[in-house]
Amino acid sequence: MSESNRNSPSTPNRATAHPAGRSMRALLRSRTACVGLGLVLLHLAVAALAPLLTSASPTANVPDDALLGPGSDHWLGTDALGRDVLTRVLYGGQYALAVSFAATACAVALGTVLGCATALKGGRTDGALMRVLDAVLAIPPILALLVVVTVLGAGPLVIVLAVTLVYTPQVVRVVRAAALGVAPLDYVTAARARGERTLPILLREVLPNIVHVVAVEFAMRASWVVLLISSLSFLGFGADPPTPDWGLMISENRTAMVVLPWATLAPIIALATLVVGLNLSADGLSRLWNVDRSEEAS
Amino acid sequence: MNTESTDPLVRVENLSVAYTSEGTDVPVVRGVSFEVAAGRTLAVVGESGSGKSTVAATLLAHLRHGSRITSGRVELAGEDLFGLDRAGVRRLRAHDVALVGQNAGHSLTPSMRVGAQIEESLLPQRLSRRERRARVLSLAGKVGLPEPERLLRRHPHQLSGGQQQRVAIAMALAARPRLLVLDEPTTSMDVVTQARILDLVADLSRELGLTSILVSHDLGVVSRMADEALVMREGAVVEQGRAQQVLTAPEHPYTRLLLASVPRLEDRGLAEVDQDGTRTVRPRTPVPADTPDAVSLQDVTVDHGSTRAVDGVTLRLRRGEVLALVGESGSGKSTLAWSLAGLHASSGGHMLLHGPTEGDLAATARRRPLDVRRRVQLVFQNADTSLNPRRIVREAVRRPLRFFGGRSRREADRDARTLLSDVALDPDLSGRLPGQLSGGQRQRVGIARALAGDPQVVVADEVTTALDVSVQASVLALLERLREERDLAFVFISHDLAVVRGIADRVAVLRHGRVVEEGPVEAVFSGPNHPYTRSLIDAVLDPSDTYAPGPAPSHRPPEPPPDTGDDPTWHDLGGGHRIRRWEETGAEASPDT
Repeated sequence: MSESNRNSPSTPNRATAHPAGRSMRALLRSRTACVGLGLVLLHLAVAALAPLLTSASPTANVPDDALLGPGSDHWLGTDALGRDVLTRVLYGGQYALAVSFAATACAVALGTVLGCATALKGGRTDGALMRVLDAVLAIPPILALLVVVTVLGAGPLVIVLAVTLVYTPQVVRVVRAAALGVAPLDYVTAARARGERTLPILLREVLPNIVHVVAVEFAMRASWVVLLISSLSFLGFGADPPTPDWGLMISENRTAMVVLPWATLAPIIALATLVVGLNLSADGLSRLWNVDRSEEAS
Repeated sequence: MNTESTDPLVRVENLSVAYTSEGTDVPVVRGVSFEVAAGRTLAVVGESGSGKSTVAATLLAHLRHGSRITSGRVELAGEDLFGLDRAGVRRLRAHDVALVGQNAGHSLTPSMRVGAQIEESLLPQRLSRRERRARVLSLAGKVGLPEPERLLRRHPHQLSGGQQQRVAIAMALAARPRLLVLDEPTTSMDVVTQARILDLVADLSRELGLTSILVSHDLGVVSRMADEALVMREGAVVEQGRAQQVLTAPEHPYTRLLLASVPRLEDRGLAEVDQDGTRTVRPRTPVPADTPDAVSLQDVTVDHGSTRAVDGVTLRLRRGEVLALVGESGSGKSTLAWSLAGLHASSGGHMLLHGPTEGDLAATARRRPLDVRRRVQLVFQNADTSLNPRRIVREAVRRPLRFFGGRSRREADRDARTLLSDVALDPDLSGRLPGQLSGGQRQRVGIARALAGDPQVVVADEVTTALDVSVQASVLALLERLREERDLAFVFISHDLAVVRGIADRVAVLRHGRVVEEGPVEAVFSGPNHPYTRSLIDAVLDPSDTYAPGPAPSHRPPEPPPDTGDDPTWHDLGGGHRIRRWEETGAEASPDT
């Protein structure tokens, strides 16, 4: 009856566990999240360790070995320039992963800051910013990217900036919605009553409570960006030809698809598993953290 | 309707419910049995975590995700509710049992007009569109929604809390259910709205011969509504019987303790309740008349856009004094308090902080000098949302210590521990997250956080409303102790006049943003009063009162006090007690419209 012995009747033994350890365990119990994150980690590991996994060079031309079928020397055969397909697939993730993750990180970071700030500020600033972002949202991403790349060239930095620009508005929308749910709560009001500035309120009170939304958004957005950047390479605006890149490989080898199906199929499978992995991670995490994904249907 | 039917409509037999947590069964309901005859009202009483809501939900064949029935049966008119298939459950909820939940504001769909929502619950009856419309209108009239034609076209957020709850009741009645489950239907409402909603439900139940199960922690509500009562604690029934019997002559010590913890209107101070349920009322020591002011308000107005929420309030708060602001929701009491705390700018008048630190409180918090800002601190109503769920208790208290006091991390940590023990919390809890604390503990952390600024004035906004009675008593005792130890002045906002009676030195009654009555607590409670104050006092439900069935007695509006002065706006009754003059007739005199 007294307060002390009624303390948290439902969670007596959990009180001792550290929250981080608890979410880790919960994560391991979710099969979707495990499979998804596993696939993503596998791709990251392969891309990072490619030089150790194969001794062949991904770019050196060997005209004598051109257009070989799968065999003991070349498990997945070779392409028109005699390069080992498997080697190129193993290396092929490097460009796409590096550029996509950099771009996603930028877009999510910028979007999170803007989304939180606009939710906290509210009023006219909020309205104005959201209308501007709506205008940006109306532009199809691939079109915007093509324009930027034709004007500024296809360097990785340009692509990262362009993707950031194109995807930030969507992140802002999602984060703003989540932050709006937190902003009127009393602990934020308490910080306001203390007279704290917007940035500390954002960092201390709002962000920790929407970090799960941001994480899910990251996984979700990454899968879109990977696809976008690979499409760009496929169209010839991304990675430059000798570079091993999945999108580029599909584009280079698709004419020979009937003769050498693996040269096209292997990068497609690699790309597909990465995107599926990212999607599964997003799904698993959102279910784990009760993030409402309906906002992100776009 | 035949109320003497021999077969009970509801029969719950040895019901046990448990949920599984990390491989072990945690029982939430243990062996509960009861019966409700048709036309009767059973109240399930208990504090939070007693399993009362779980029991109520089983009558809709609902269990929270992860819970299951480990033994027993729930029957409605002889049918086992947990033996129903999906279609059966749907039929049950569409036709036989209806639920009125605690927070209608949350249970109504925000994007749908309320008329359409009521209409939706008529769909299972396969009426024509025209018939449905007519039924919606008649239901709206029945639950007392004013101007139904216009109101039904509104969205939920455009209605007041009481109106939302009326809509929810209309939705529940739409199906002409046999059983009505009321889960804390008036919690978080102010007394006047509560009284009206309870009157409505009581009238409707009698008129329609409804059988209802009322879940409540408020013993006053139970005494007003219930024929029978069932007291639960930690999932088990500790006492059951006729409501009147249980509330006036409780047998179980727990019931006695519960009853003793309820603040009463006739208490002349805070009641201390022992474990065995004996209560001793500690009379208040009055604040000496020459005590200097802590805060003074002169003709303060606060605007929300174009509406004037606070309209010319003049009040003073002396050092070490508790001033209660009382009024219905929408009376401007919270707005006034938030202005004091610097969350709204006032639009006119003067708001001054006196005492060791002086300053102007008209500006919002960010524009106040740090030393003024820290002297006025706010404690929130809802302990669940007042603490950041991702920050441990120590951080919650440490932040204002560092922010206001510029202390080093280590000093702040040490002071945070001291503050936590000052609010009677075990400092070892300082590493916990708010989610791992009980409601009362969280509220104590909220109080400690407010104290961290070393305030002169604490604004307490309905701080005990969301707490169980026993916890409420201990939090009130804590506030009283802090007031004495630290010579703190409190602005205590509450709609519960019984609580106000116990804790406050002076009371100011607000209505439509104006003070209608102000005075020492004794004078206000013994009268004479403004009719509005009278209606607030009359609306307080005391568990030991017996309520005759039938409409609540309509109280005669009080006579105006003998004319005591020539002030055109105020009757001055002396001793600081003043009452705003009111018109003999018209809206002012009949607040129940």
